[in-house]
Amino acid sequence: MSNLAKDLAKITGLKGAFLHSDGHPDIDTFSAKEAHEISSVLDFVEQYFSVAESINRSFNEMIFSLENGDNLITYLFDESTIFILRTEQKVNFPFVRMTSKIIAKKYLKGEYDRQPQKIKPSIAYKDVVIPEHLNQQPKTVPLVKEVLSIEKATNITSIEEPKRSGFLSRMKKALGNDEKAADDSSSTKTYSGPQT
Amino acid sequence: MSIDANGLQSLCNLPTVTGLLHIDEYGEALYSSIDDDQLTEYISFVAGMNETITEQSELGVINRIVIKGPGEENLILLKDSDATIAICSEKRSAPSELCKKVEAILKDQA
Repeated sequence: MSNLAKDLAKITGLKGAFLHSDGHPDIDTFSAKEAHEISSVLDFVEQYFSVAESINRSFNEMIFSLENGDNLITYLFDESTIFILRTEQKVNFPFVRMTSKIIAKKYLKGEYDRQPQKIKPSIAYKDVVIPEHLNQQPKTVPLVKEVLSIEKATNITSIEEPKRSGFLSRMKKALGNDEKAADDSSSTKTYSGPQT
Repeated sequence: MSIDANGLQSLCNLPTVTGLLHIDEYGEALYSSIDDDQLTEYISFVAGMNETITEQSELGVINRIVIKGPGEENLILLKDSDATIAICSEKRSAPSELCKKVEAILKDQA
């Protein structure tokens, strides 16, 4: 359902709508036969409002009660915009007036002409444009020509055995134990489970 | 619609009614309590055009016309076979309720 149809559907009891404004395509929801009647009525309605304006009267709404009970409601929204609606006998006139105003406003803004923008399901690679700054080749970094010299160590402080951390002595002890353990590996050991 | 002076006076005495115009099928004013000549002419024009619309379109007979505008009094034109009664009423009045009262008086006159 189009936006126009949705907006018109808000008017309960509406039988048909005709919206005319100079420079815009007419909106017409009447059947072909009714549309002919309405277009002839449009000329009369324009004269009603035109004559009222000529005597400095600001009449902008006319409601015709027809023989069969229907209402023919006409609004003049500006100098060239006329809205004609055919409704059932009992309708909420203030609601019809305000809704018609909203529809006419959207119509004049061209909101009913716009088609919803179609979204492409996928984007082909060839259509992708890579920004120039992302398409540049990485620059090569120049080699450093300066060779740094390694200075000879002049002041070397020897650390005496007692001041050492004891790492070597612990290693020697450990190696000695490993040697002993290696010698003992020839003997068979049996696992007797966790000791309690 | 053959309304007499008493009937017209009854219509004038209805709440919110500010003026009344009784015109024949040729647009001639038979009775008027509206001082504004241009408004009287406009009502006669609408009544005359009403006849033309009925003849030239297939809408059928138009029984009633209500005309409104910002800052304007409401205008109600009631059509019968040979004449039209136009009523000016205060803007705050409800045309549909006023029409019921007017039609009740006209019915009594018939």
